[in-house]
Amino acid sequence: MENIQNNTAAFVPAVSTKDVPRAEANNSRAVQRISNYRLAVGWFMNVVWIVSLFALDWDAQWHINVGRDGFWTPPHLVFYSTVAICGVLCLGVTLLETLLYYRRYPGINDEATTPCLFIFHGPIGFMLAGFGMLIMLSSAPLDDYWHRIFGIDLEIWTPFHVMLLLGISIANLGMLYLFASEMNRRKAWAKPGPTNLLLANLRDLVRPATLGLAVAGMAMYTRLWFLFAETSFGISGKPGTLTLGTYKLSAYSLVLAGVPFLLVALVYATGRPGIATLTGLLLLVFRFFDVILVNLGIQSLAVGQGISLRSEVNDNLGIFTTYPVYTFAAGLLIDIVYLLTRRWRSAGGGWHTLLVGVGSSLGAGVLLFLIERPWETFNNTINELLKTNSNPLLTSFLKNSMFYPAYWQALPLVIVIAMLAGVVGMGLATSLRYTER
Amino acid sequence: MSLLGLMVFLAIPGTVLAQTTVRGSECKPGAECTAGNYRVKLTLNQTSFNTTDDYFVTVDQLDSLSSDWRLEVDVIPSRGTSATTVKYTDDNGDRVRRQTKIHFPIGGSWTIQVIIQGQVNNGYLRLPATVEAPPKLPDWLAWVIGLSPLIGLIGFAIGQWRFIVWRKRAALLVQAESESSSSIKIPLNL
Repeated sequence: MENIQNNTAAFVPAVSTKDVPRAEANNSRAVQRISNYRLAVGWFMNVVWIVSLFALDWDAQWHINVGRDGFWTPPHLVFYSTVAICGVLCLGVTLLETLLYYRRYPGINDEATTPCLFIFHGPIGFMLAGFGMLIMLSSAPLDDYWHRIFGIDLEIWTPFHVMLLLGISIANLGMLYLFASEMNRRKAWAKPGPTNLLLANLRDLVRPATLGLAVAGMAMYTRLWFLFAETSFGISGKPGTLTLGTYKLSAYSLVLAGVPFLLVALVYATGRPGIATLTGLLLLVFRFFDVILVNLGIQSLAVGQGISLRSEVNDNLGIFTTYPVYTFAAGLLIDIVYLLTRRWRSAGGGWHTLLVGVGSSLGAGVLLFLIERPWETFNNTINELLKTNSNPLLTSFLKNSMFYPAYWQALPLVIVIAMLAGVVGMGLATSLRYTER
Repeated sequence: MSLLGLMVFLAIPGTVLAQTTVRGSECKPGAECTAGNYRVKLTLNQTSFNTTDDYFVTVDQLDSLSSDWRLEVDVIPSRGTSATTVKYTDDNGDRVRRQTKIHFPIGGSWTIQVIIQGQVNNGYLRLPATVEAPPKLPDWLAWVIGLSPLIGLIGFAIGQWRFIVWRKRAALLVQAESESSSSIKIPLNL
């Protein structure tokens, strides 16, 4: 039995892993080694995944500007390559840990792995992410088939686009669980830090697992916005609205109210104030580089190659311009509320925590509603263009493009959505907090 | 940031090239045709088209063109076909015969435009083509397939909920046991 700890090739038959006594404590070197390798693979996937985020936004813009001359366009090549890489990594980790589980490798047991399909044992984050990648790859030929029938100007909410985006969301969720799991496991051997609360919190925020969680959260936001892009302003050349009676409510504002759910989940799952603000800041940085890289992708690989751009390209804005800029402000509000209510939550138990979580989500949702109004910037730009334009056709087009939703009438619905987002966020937080395998 | 995004894409029309226009006389496959100053024979390996197969456009020159000529074939969508022009250039051939492989990405009405790029000038020929799209799945079935990942997601959510309930019960049990032996209270909530 003493061979098991040092010799990974040793195999000791047993009836089940539960019959084998636990040879290592939680802070044993084997457990830490496993956590380190999972984190390393997770971070590699994070980096590759960020490339896929750019690639998908580039693909959306390619559809708008260039059209679709086939399946293997440059953005598709990049996107599906990154998905395949991540998928292979997830599969590899699952198969490796399944093998090591049955070989009784120290640290890979029922406490550290999740069973799947009666045979496999692996980290839940990798298996969930791998499932998402599989859905994405499966949707590719189906999406190509749908385009062959209906052409290039498909909306985002077509069956196989939705399948792709659901796969992306599931993969993103898997990555959240991947990092949350390692963060929870590593608490067992975390060294005591600075006594200063602020320094200790800052140090915790930049730990690999926590930082990985923030990056995965940022990625999730970008893809959820993509999924809801049909509701956003200007994507199909017409603003998305929800008509209630005589009021045309801005669909963008209503979706925005749901944004705080993930910020709340991250703070309450990690117990680290600042992570919500960090996630919002990462989204801002991503959006900045997204604009540059997507434009570069179109200029160098389309215009530079002599590919004709579509003449009606004026009508459409980039999908990334819908990503909310002030997410970090919402995150800051949630972090501050978390900090200020620490004692009250500890004293009151679960219900107090739920109340604070939902309340902070409500505050963040209303804050975003108040400050994130992209149509105002758009309308101002149109007005500036109208001053210098003399073409009557263009004038008519520009005037028709301006957007004036029923604004304050949307507030009650925004409040309801923000509170529901808080409930969902707290549920996700509970799930992330308990995951260790 | 929205303003920046808008300005980026209002700048792009400055680089927009003209939409491809169809030029040249119509030419039937197998017939001798005149493309500008050139007499050629245009052949296709098939005359019915779909979105799956590749097709070979072969041009045989019938008069004494110099050896330095090239073949370009554009597949141009007609009005009502939601597609974009795709350009193909010849990848094999000799002084007399050149061939290009083409493909139709989307079903609908297209025009195959053949451009003979000679030393002096270009000659154009065109050939209308109706491309058959694959058979369409019923919308309800497409949506069932498209939304099927939700089943996995719901299953995962149920599994997680059950796991959390089990963990909380286990924690309560541990607390009850520890309370019976000591006065230390273990926090159970967030």
